[in-house]
Amino acid sequence: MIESHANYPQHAVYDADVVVVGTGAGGAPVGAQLAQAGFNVLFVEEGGYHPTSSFNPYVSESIPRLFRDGGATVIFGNPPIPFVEGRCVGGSTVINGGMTWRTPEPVLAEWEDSVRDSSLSAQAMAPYFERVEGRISAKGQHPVSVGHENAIMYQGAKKMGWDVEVNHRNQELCVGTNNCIFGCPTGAKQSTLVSYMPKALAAGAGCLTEVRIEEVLQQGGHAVGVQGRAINPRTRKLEQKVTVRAKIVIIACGAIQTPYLLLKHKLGRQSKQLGRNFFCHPNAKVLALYPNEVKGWQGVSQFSQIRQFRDEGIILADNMIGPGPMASNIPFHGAKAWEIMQRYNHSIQSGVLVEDSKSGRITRGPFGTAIARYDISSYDHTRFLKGIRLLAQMHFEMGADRVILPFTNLHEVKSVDELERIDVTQRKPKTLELFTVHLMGTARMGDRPETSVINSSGEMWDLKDCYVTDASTFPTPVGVNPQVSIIAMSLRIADRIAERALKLPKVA
Amino acid sequence: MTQASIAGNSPTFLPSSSIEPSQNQSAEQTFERHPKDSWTLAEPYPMSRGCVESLHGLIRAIIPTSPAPQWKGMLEDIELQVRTVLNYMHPMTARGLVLLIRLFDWAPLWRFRSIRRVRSLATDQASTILEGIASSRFTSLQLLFSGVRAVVLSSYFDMKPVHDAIGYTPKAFFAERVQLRERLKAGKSANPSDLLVPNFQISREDER
Repeated sequence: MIESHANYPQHAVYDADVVVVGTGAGGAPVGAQLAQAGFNVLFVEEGGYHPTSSFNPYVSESIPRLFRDGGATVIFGNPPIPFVEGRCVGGSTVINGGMTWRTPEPVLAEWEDSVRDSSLSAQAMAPYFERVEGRISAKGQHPVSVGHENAIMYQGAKKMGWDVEVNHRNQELCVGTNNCIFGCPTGAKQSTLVSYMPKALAAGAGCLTEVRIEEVLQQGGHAVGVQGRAINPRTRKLEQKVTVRAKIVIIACGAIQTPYLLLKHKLGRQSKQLGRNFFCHPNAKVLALYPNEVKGWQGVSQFSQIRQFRDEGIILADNMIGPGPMASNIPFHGAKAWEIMQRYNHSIQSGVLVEDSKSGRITRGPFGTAIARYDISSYDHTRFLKGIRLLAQMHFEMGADRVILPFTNLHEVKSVDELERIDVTQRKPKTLELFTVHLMGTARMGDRPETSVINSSGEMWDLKDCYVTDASTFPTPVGVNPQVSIIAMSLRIADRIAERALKLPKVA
Repeated sequence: MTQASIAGNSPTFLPSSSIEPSQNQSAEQTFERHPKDSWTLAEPYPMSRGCVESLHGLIRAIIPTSPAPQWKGMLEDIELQVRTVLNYMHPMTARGLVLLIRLFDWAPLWRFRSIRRVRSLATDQASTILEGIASSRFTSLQLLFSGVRAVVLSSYFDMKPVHDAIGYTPKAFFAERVQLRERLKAGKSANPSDLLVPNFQISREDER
């Protein structure tokens, strides 16, 4: 059963064994697994329920419908980094590109070492990855989904002699509508909206949508529920009070909203790590214009990734988007914007992803704002310049006649030779234009309350029966698209909860 | 789910048939705006008449002029989209953007370019003044302007006349692809004409 704002009375109170705040990669899997194990599970989701049949190509509808704060969210720092995250049933899995990479083994080794728990080893995590990949149908693309943009990126990498790897994606017969990040209109992408949530609901779980949770209810050092208010979809004001009493509280609101919620209760004081250790895999966009028609909007989001520079923490890939968001990314307006945008069908948007070398922090600001702060290091800056130069070079090799660069003081180049200007003009990070979607690490898992926020079972050190299952649990950046890592970690914690909770009396 | 106590009226539940079945899609889907999913679009963000005039002035100066598509009611269409998305933003962000709309309307004055506001200037002149802000040596000013520019341009380039002009026709393509997927789901093979890139090959070594 799914409820929305119109259903709630002035003060609604619900009881459940388990309340899960969030329905994305962190929340839906743990809730589904516990519901299937016989627990009385209730999800609470801030966004609305939007089925596949409602998805269309208009971003002026999909952004308010699916994105937090209409996509107007930014990480403050040098340089500031706009970011997006999902706010709908399915969370960010509804608006991601659908890449399914397992947590790299060196990263798992690092996690195993820092958490001192062998259940995080590559061998111990392998069965979780297999379960995830089976459930979300992680596999290679059907040939009908490959577009010209995908082909150019792949062939470009081969021409440059670079190592390129074809992505596995969570899809079932994807046919290449390239609308993954604004809601897959065919239902092929196996977001939690169409994979874990239907399983959870079929197993008897409920879902309260359009409710923003504002506090975790506590009693004697234990979490005993959550409380928030319903959002009026017409006015966007917070209205009815909604309380969920539960024996187990699972927080899966993402790496920004999770610490924001928990910091209200001054938790994680011993380690002072709650909100810290924030990673975001910043990336920079490079837009190439080709003389021939490419129609980048026909194909698949990120068919392949260029992994030649993976050891340096640099990944290159395509990220085609619709004309609305593309126009908002280009550094021009008026006639100059038209000059670029009328060649939309000749364009390929690609990106440089750089693995974090330092971390940022989330704090609670005034008027209900979560403030994210993150500065890139000079090492990151150097890697961005290298990645941007390489990507632009590849586009020119493939025949592009113009490349729009992500710098505030160098907007475009028209030949490989002009790329020399990058060295002359790019001295400081503040001229970089970055963007991100991978937010991680603000409630880190660890082996001691002095150095971490949650234990290796996902439970908070200083609030019993309160678990965190989203990307904020990551002790270090994962270095790849994090979806599979989040779901696997969520299922691992679900197993721990089930083991423990089976000993608890159930709600009648 | 157990309702322990309910103050006020009892809630009504959506039928379980509203649960998303896995991999569903109707071949008759039209991909139009405002589909019947019981979703309520927020009201436009409240703005004074003066602020709406400032916004119109900025829209005129930011969007491309002819030969880019122009149509009757265009300013109002873009205004509506901008004000709707403002209502989904964090209230502090929305207020900040409204202040910026005012600030940039007065830009000719504080940039010492004219004593008239953007809304009262000829489009070319207003656009040139905003160009100066976009390339200002103050990065923060550039960034603030890029926020306003982004919200206006993304609205303009999300309109059907503009889609038609740039050759972006996703609805027909989506419909054709949904039908193709239905065929594949039914166990039929793809035709050569279904391939977007005929003869595309990948090396086996690049597969995971």
